[in-house]
Order: sequence, then structure tokens, then C-alpha cells
Amino acid sequence: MIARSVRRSREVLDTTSSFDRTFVGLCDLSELRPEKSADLGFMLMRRHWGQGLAQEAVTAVLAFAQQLGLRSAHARVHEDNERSVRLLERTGLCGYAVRSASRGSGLECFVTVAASRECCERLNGAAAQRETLIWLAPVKWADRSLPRDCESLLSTLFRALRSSDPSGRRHRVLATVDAADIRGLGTAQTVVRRGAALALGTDVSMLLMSITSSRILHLAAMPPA
Amino acid sequence: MRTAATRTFMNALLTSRLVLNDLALDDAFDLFAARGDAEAMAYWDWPADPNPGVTRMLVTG
Repeated sequence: MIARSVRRSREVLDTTSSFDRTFVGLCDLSELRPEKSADLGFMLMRRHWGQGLAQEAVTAVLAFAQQLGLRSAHARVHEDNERSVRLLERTGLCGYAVRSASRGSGLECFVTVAASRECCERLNGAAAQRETLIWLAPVKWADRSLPRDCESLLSTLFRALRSSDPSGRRHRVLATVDAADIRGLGTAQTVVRRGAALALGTDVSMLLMSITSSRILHLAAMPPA
Repeated sequence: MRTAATRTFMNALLTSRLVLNDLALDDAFDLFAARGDAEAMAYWDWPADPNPGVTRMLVTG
């Protein structure tokens, strides 16, 4: 993990000696996969909220991540954490609203960096065509404790979507899996299939789409409309 | 993504208002002010640190 302390500087950049070193918070990159991806995290002391400082720190760390050769960064955000969601969107990340049944369930909102913006825009276009996208981003797909929880949550999501929109809207599930994580990929496939089967009583069509720009495989499954 | 405003100096990341340094043991006490705050930690995957010692252990790895 690369963790950076965030301190407020008194003056502008050129006067580096004038840092008063008021501690503001923390911004870090963890789960580093060299030349691939990392997880982005940040927290600020409460008295420094609402001043745009977190956005400034996140922007700096994402630029640093690019210098490290990372092709994507992920930030997991709870859907009711509106302040952080807005921050990440302002920073240029592509966000997707995902329902999360409960904290610590292993499924959380997923945000991906601009490196895969083209992919996101394409998916947004699909969403506009009367599809609902659900992105699944477990902390670790290969974690044996996750599948049952994932399947259950996915099933709940499908049921809720179907009951709220009985007109036949198509639902697409995207599970992000590291291309090198073969075991995780198999787990993701199983989870999506079982989750859909639980809710719909039928199998789903499934495809694998390789996004070369971010080196992340997106596993897409669309239950029948 | 805006990147032009970020510069580096002595391994630190610099923005117009911030300096981002490697996290050090000296940061532990200050960091506890955030990690020990239940509201600030509300959206993290673990509860607030109960005391500065826990935060210190985190920093030292």
C-alpha cells in the first residue's frame, strides 16, 4: 500500500518551505497490481470537509498512479455516501449507482477511472436503451466466503428490479474481474449464473468482454427480458 | 482527470493547497483524529479506532 498523509500548505506551490503541516487526512493506493490497477482510498478530518481538499488530494494521487504506470484505479463507495460519490464524479471518474444490501456484504458500488471511460460511455449508451446495469465489485471474487452472499444479493436485486419494472426492461450484470484472476473469474461466472437463477428460475445469457485499456475483464450477463 | 496542478518535490505530491507525503509514524496521532471519529469512519469497512495505539499499529504496518 502507498499511503500519503495529506497536509495543508500555507502558500502556493513555489514556496514549499512555507508548509505549515496542518494534518488534513489520508489518501492511499492499496491492492496494487503493478502496471494494472490499485484501490483508491481517502479520508479527511471532519473539520476539513467541504473545502474541496479531498478532491484535490484524490486528483493528485490519481495522477501519481498514472505516473506509476497503473492503468486503472478503483474506489468503492457506499451508495448513501453522497459526498464521496460526488467527489469521485467531479474528479473525472465514471460512476454507477449500485444497490448495496448492507455494509460489509462484499458487494459495493464500483467506480472506475477515466482509463476505461470509453467502455463506460458505451455501457451508459446501453443503459439508455432501456437496460439496467448492475455492477458487482466484490472485494475479492476468489474469497470462498463471498459467493453465497453475492448470489443472494444479486437475486434480491433482480427480484426488486423486475417487480419495480414489469415492462420487460433488460438487466445487465457486469462483474469486474482482474484478467489474471482465473479463479476469481470462475467464481464470478458461478455467482452471476446462480444469482440470476435464484431470482428468475432460468439460466442467463453470458458473455465475456475483454477491456484491453484497463486490462480488466468484464463479465456480462443478461437475463432474458 | 485534472493532473496539471500536481507537482512533486522531494518525493511529496504538491497541489495548490496540499502536500502529500509518505505516511509516517509521526502522522499516527493526527491520523487518529480522523480514524477515531465514528462519523468520519461511517462509510469505511471497519469501525473507528478505539485509541491512538491502534492507529499507530496501522501506520507501522
